[in-house]
Amino acid sequence: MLKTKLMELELENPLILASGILGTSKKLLERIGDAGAGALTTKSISIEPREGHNSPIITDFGAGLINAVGYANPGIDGALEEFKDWNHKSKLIFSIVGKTAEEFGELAKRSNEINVDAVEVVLSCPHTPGYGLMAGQGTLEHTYEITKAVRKKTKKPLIIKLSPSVPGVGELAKEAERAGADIINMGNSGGPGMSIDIERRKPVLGFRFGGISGPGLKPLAIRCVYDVYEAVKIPIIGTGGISNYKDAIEIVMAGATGIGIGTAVYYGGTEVFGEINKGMEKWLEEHGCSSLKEIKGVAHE
Amino acid sequence: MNRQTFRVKKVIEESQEVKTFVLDGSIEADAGQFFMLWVPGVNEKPFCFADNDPFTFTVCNVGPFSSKVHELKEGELVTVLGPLGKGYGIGNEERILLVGGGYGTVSLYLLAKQAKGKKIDVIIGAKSKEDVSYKKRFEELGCRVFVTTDDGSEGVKGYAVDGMKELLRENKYDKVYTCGPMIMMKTICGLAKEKGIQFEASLEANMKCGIGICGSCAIKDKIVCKDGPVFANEEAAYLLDI
Ligand SMILES: Cc1cc2nc3c(=O)[nH]c(=O)nc-3n(C[C@H](O)[C@H](O)[C@H](O)COP(=O)(O)O)c2cc1C
Ligand code: FES
Repeated sequence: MLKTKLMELELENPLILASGILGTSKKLLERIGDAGAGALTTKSISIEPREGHNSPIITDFGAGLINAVGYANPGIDGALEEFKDWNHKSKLIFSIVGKTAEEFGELAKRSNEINVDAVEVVLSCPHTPGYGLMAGQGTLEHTYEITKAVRKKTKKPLIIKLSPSVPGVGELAKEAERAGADIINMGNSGGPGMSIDIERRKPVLGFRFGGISGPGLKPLAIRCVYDVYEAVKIPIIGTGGISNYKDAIEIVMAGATGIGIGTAVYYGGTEVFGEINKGMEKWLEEHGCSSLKEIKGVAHE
Repeated sequence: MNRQTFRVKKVIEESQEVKTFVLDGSIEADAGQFFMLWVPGVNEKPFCFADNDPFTFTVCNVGPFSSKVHELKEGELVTVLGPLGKGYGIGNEERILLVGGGYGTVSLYLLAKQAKGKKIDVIIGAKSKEDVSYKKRFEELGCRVFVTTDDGSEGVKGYAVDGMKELLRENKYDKVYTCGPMIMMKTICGLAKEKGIQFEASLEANMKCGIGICGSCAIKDKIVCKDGPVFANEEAAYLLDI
């Protein structure tokens, strides 16, 4: 009932662990696969190892989280070693971040050395100098150029992850599609935002500002998925504030085929995957639907 | 969960390297749980509770962050996120053995306090006599305390595991709890397992968020800050490669 096809990427169910949430080790990803995620995204990987920002790297603002992790990751060599020999029923999505189109191309090429099921290109981090929005990667021109560079280096399903906090996400998605993307992940954390501790009278995050995720992001994510669905033919992974099965159904109605889950793990632990799947199945049955396909994008009709 | 701010009520100099900070409030926490201590503009790092009422913690000056913490004076602000993680399991054991290595001893003090009514033996394994600051506090709770030091400057010269072997000759324990360097906990849990004694260990990991999201603390498939930091029996053995 929940089987999902994102181009060549066939999943047991549509739930995908979003990048940066517990995606640091292969064994941990396997555990989350066992808990019911149809696919698992690694932490975003750069060419060189990165320490990331000083803590606090994450803070709870009451309606979600703000994070500025700063792409802490072991670098491509370390990551290929960690994630090699993937052999689990849930699919592995390899997330990459580069400073330039060449770096993205190089990372995509290197990812062919191991058994990954798809490559995700992140153009949308709101809080790391040299990367994503802070490097202007959220423009039409860069989206095209980077997507093209990666497309040349991998035949795997190619996911382009966009920011919900730039205007014209539909146009950006179209540009990615034109450059050869197979799937759009809509999207990253929003903002950036800031939390100030009123007793200390200072921004909480070590980096001062960061990406907004969780329930407070959901309406923005739903609207962005809705816009992208109107703009492109390729499938969409809807990500942003999906915390329970109702949210999941909602983002599918906006046009998502896959469903990214990140911050929900903070509220519900790794068990959320099983719970959301069960909830969706029950909802579909109660509404006389045999698959999610029947409700995909229905909000547009 | 949100950060809370306290004021330092008292600073106790345990030794040249070690200071204990007593705050002006209390916090609900189980022994073995931890908190993130935030020094604005510097960093945030995990520490264990030495006591929860009043909220007390002990910091050994080992690097740039802890030396910043050591600058805290009476009356100044301290901001924490916690309690976090899963602490020690306290059941119907009658006799327990606590084995602390160096600074790890601190989290066992709150355990000894919360496990009141049990017969408690404590081994403090330290480098030298400067590092055994909690000995008196355990004794005040009525625990029997044994000290081993690497250089023999206090107690018996040797490692904590040597002390444990000694005690096991004449004593039976229902459970062994340990907190300290990974290699020490490996030897302690290894011995407990060999002797068929229940055991729990509080693991060390690189914690950046403390709330089970960033993955920096992962050991194998465990999220140390959330599934732990205390693990028991098979899980502890698996994580410590015993
Ligand atoms: C702590 C944290 C770290 C993240 N790190 C990454 C990352 O490395 N790469 C990335 O593409 N997205 C990263 N994200 C964004 C998530 O993948 C996701 O797009 C966003 O959080 C929105 O989904 P959610 O509301 O379900 O969390 C991170 C989010 C959080 C909360
Ligand atoms: S410290 Fe971030 S998940 Fe444990």
